[in-house]
Amino acid sequence: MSATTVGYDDCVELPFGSAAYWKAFAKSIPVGVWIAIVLVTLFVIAAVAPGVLESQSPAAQDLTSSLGAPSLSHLFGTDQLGRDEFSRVVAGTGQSVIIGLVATGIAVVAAIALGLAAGLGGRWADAIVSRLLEVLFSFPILLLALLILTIFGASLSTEIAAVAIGTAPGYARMLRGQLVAVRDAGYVEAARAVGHPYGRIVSQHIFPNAIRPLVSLYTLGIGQSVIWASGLSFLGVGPPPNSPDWGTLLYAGRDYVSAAWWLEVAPGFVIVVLAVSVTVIGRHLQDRLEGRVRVSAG
Amino acid sequence: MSTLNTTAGSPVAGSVSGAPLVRVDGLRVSFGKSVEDNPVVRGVSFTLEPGRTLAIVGESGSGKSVTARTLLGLTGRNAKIATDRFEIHGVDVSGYGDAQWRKLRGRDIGLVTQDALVSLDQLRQVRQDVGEGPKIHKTLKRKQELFARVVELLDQVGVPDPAVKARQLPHELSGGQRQRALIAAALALDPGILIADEPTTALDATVQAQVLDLLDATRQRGKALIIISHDLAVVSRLADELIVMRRGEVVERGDAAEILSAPKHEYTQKLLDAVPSGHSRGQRLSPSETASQATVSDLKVVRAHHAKPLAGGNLLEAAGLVKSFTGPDRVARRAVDNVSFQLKPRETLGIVGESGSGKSTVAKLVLGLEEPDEGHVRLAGEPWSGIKEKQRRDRRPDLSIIYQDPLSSFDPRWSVERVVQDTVARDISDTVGQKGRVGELLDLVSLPRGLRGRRPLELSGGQRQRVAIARAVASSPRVIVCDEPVSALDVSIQAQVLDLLGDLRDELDVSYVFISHDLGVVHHVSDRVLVLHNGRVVEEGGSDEVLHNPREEYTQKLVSAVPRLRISGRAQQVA
Repeated sequence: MSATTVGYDDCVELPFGSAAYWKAFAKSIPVGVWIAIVLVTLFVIAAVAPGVLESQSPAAQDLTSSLGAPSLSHLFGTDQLGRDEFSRVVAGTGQSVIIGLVATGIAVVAAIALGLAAGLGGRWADAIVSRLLEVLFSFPILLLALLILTIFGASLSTEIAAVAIGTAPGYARMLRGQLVAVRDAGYVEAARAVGHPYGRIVSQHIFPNAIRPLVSLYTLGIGQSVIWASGLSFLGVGPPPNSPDWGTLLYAGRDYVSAAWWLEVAPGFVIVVLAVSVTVIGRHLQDRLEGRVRVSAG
Repeated sequence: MSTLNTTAGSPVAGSVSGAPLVRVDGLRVSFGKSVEDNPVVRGVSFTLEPGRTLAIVGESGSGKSVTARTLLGLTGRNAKIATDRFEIHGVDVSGYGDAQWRKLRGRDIGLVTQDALVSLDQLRQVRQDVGEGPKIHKTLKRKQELFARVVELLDQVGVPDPAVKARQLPHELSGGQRQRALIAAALALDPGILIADEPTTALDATVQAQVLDLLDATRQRGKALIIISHDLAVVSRLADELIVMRRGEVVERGDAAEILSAPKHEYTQKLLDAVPSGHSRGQRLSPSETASQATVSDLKVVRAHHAKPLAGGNLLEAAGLVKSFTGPDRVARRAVDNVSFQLKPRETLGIVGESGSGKSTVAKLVLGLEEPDEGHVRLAGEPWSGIKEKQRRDRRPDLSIIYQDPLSSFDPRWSVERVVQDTVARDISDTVGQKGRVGELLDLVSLPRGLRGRRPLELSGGQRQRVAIARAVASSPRVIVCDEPVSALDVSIQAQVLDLLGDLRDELDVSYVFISHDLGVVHHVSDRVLVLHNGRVVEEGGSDEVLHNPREEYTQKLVSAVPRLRISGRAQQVA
C-alpha cells in the first residue's frame, strides 16, 4: 500500500477546517484508499437500506431464467430458482457484516484480555492462559462452534459467540508473542530508565506496538468470520435461513458450481472485496494515527 | 594456525601473463537513470598486483562498498556502470553479463563480507557455505572430497576442531570463528584476489587482531587483497596502497604509510584527527563547535531543583556487585562477579571489556534495571539497589543512559520531538513549555529543529545518537551511563559525538560511566579505567596508567591487540 510520507521540514501547517485544509486532506488520501472508502460506503448502504441497491426482490422467482449467466439485467446471474443473485447478495449483506464485525470484535477483545494476561501478567498467568489456549487450539474451530450451538441453541447471537470463541485463541496467541517481544524492547528499557511508571509504559509503548499487527488481522478476520458463520449455516446449525447471509449463498451455490460458477464466485468476491477494503482503510488509519501521513500544503 | 599450502589462483581463460590482477580506470557507478545521474562512484582508478594490499577507506555513503562489488559484478540490475578500462587478469570484463561474472566469482575473486552472523546461512551447516564455491564450480564432485576440502580450508584459517565445526550451525561458532569460516569460504576456490568488506567490524579487539593476521598471511602467499574499511587503524596495519573516498570521489590515493603519516588532503587529515586515542585526550576530534550557551544555562536552572549535596563525595558507588543468569542449559553463570567502583563528580569512568565480559550487565545494575544478587549500588550517597522501584522513581532523573543502538531505544512510532518531550514532561507540565525545552535540547546537541517531526528510522546514525543524547540530558542527570555509544558510527561522526559528550560534561556538570570495547575511545574520554574480563575486574586505575603500562596479562593482551595507526611522524608531533 502506498502512502504519502512527508518529511516534517517541508510540511506547512494549515488551519484546521479551512477550505485549503480539506483540499490538502483529500489529496493526502491515496487513490486506493478512496476506492476502498467508496466500496465500504456501498456495503453500508446495502446493509442499512438494501432496497436502494436491489434491482429486484431477492425472493422473486423466475423459473424461465434459472441459472442464468451474469448479464446486464442480472449482474451476478441467477440461481436455480431464477432469483437475482445480485439482489440476494445485497440482501445478505446486513447479516454477514454483523456476523463479521461483531464476532471478530468479540474475538479480538477477548484475545486482548487473554494476551495481556499471558504476555504481561507474570509466569503463572502466562502458564495458565497459554495452556488454556492450547486446549482451545486442540479442538477444530468447527467442532467447538458446533458444541456451543448444540448446547445453547441456534440463533444469530449464539452463532456470533461460537465464531468468536473459535477464532479468539489465534489472536490471543499472536498478541502474547508480540507483547513478549515488545516488553523487552530497548525503548521499554529506556522508558523504565527515565522513571515512568509501569502502567504508563504499557499503555504508551508496549500495548500500541504489540497491537499493530492485530489491526490488519482484525480487518482480514471479518471476512474469515463470515466464512466460518457460513460453514455453520451449511451444517444446519446456524440461524434459520429466512434472510440468507453470504455464507448461505456460498453453500447454496455449491451444488451448481460446474453449471453456474457465478453462484460461488459472487458471494466469495464480495467477501474478499469487503475484507480488502476494510484492510486498506484500516492500514491507512493506522498510518495517519502514527503520523506517517500528514496533511500538508503542496 | 596450520601452514598455508595452496598455490596462487587460477587465471581466467585467455588471461595475459604479466598484466596486473585488476586494472580499473575511471569507474563510474550510478543507481539513477544514467551513469551521469547522481553517481555514487565518480571516477575511481586503481591497479592491483599479486601480493599487494589495496585499502579503500571512507565513511558510509562514500561508495567504497559499491566499488568493491563492481569487481564482482554484484552491483545489481539497477546499477549503471561505465569505465574507461576494466580488466581482470588482463582480460576486458567491462561488457560481462551475469553468466560470465558467475564464472569469475569465487574462482578468481573471493569476497569476505562483514557481519558473519548474517552472512552465513543460519539454517545450514558451516560446511555447506564453505563448500559452496567448489560445489557450484564443480571442481570437486565427490562428497568426501568436498568435505575433506572444507575441513582443510577451516583448518587453514585456524578454526579449531575443523571436522566438528564443519558440521555445526553458524550460531554454534564464536564470532571470530564465523568470520574465519567466511574467509575459508572465500578461499575455497583459491582465487587470486580477495575482497574483504569490513572484515573485522563486529569483532572484539583480540579476535580482530587474529583475523587481520590471517588476511595478511593469505596476502603473503601471493594473493592480492582489497580491504574495504572505515577504520583507519585496521587499514594501516595491512595496506600497501590506500584510496580515500568521499561521496563517490577519490580524495587521496597513494602509498598507505605515506598518506597516513603525511596526508595531503584536508579530508584525510580530518579522518585521522577524528581517531580517538590516549594522545587525543583533552582535544577536540572534530572541527565544528557545538552547544549554545543560552540553552546550557537554562538547563542548569532545572538541575538546581533536584540537586542535593553529596554525601561522601562519590556520585555513584558500586560495591561487590554479583549477578548471575541462568542459561538455557539451566546452569547459572556469573555475568558480573564482585565488581566495585566509585564515580566522583565530573569524572568519566571507562569500563572496557570484550563481548561477554559483563559490561552491559554492569550498566543495567547501575541503572537499577536489574537487581544485583550480592553487593549494592549507591547513588549520591543514598541506596540505589535493594529498594523498591517506587522509591527509585523520583531519583531516576539523576541517572540516564545512552545506548549503542539508539534506533531500538526509540519507540518506532514516535517522532524525535515526542521521544525527547516524554522525558522533559517530568519537569515541565505545560505542552508549550515542553516543546520549547525540546527545541533547546535539540539545539544543545546541534540537531536541526526541522528534524523534530521525523521518526527515528528517517534519521542518520549520527542524528539518532544526538537524539539519544538529547533525551539523556533532558532530565538534567548527574550521571550518564553510555553503553557503547559510538560503536555504530563512522569515525568522523564518532568524533562529533565524543566531542559533544565532552562539551556536555564541562557545561552541564555530568559524570559518565563510559562502556566500550574500543580502547582508543575509552582512553580518549576516560579519567579512570576499569578492565572487565569474564565478569571480574582485571585491572583498575588512571586511564594512562592502565592503557599505556598495563600490569595484568589480560590487559596487556588487549592493549597489544588494538590495531594502531602507523603514524610515527604524527605521533611524535602530538606527544
